[in-house]
Amino acid sequence: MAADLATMLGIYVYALYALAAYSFTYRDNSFFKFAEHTYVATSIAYNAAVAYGTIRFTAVEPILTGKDFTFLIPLLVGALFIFFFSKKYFWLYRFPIAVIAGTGFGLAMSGTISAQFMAQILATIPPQLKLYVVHPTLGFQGMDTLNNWLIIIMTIGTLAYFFFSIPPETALGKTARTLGIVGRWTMMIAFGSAFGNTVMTRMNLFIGVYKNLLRDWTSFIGFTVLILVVATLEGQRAKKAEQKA
Amino acid sequence: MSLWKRLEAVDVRMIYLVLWILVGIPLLSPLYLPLSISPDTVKYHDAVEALPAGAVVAFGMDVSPAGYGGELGPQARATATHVLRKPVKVIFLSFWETGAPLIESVWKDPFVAALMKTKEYGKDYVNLGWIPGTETGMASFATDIWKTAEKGDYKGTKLADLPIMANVKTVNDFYMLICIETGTPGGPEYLRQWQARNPKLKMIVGSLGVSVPANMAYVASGQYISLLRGGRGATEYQRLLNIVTPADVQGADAMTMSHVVVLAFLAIGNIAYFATKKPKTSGGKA
Repeated sequence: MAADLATMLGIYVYALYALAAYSFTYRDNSFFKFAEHTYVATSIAYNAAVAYGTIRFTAVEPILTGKDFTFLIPLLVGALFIFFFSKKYFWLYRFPIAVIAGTGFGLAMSGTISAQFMAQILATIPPQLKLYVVHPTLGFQGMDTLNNWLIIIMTIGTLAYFFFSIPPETALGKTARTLGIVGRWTMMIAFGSAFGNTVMTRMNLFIGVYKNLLRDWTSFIGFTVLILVVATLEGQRAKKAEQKA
Repeated sequence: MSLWKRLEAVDVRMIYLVLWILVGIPLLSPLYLPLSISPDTVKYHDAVEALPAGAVVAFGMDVSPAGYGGELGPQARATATHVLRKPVKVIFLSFWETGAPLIESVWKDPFVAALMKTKEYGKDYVNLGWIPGTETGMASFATDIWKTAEKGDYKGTKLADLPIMANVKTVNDFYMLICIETGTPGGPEYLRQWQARNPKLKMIVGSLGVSVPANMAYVASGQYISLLRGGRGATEYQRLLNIVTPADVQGADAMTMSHVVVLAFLAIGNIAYFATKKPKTSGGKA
């Protein structure tokens, strides 16, 4: 019984927050603000609790048990973050930032050169990129061949678009400009694809929420009506206040 | 005012209302709309299918609750079902603090739960929980798993007490990495920190639709074997595995319906724009 009550309560809370968030599409209102602020507060509280647990286990416990005192160094460096709030000692805050940025860049760059820079360049150059694709059993693959040719043409075109070192009035400059048009189209297609995929993601999020809302009709309709009424009243009040001003 | 002018001036809230109604129809009653399966999903499926017996698979649940609820949850559940059907060892982990609790959500899926009953925790699969440090944590994990996951599994059981971990010391001991990703850290970070150290590591990635264009470059270069594309990819994969429930059909129909609605609005918007566009006047300012 207690579990049922908890489940029902969970569904109601979920429905209220989901509808409060989506109510912004109707107009800004206090339900939306409440949901927004609660979300931010919950996220921060969760992350703070997790971070506290991690630091306690990783660094504090080894020090307290005498297992490893070297963790005192990162703890002290991390503690310097507090000087963000001090005008006088703000410069101390730069130390942990420098350590984080330095470690991050160093670590990322070591793998980036091979995994993202070289591998991506090699993937656009024959023989890794086959200009004539033949499958061992299926034979010639027209679409794959076309796709590989497009990769070459579009890569060169996009590079040409950002190549400004040749005077445009020369023959080479004119060629680069023509190739640049291909590059511009390539980028527009890529941006369009990215936008389309973004819309698909948002739609899937919406469908996921919608499916959960339909688990309980009463809360769905009840909260929708409640929020719409409150948002309309608030809108009217704001309009009157604007007219008075 | 012409019809096109009126359409251009329509209140945006009407569009939202139409969307709520049309997407709601299949959620109330499934329409069984057709859905083709893309070659990328087939490749993703085939990669898991080809796993040799005894292979060690890392299952990275690098997701946020928002991403999990929409697209990545169905992807993760379908992938876990498929992997657990194979005689392999699966190590679940997450470099996202929000992803670790969701591993247990995946385990609650009826298909996954049924398969887990045939497996033994600690021997066939394990949950290492959240590994802190984002990309730095990934690098540390790649070189020394036992030191990085010193705290043990998600319940605090030490790695020495988990037989599955006996021969898993570095990233070189993994045969495949399955990454279900919301964002950073995700696939590209695994490439930099894991695959750069173990070039033989096979990678398949399930991503949000929004990340598909960026991730496709890694499929083209062969660094990922394949990519599961958002919610649609998840639905295709479920159909390949024959694990589709009525709720999944409703979700897929709603997804198709939402795409139709968006495409219709795009078409109407563009036609209205060109139909009401004033011809260019020559001669500059009057």
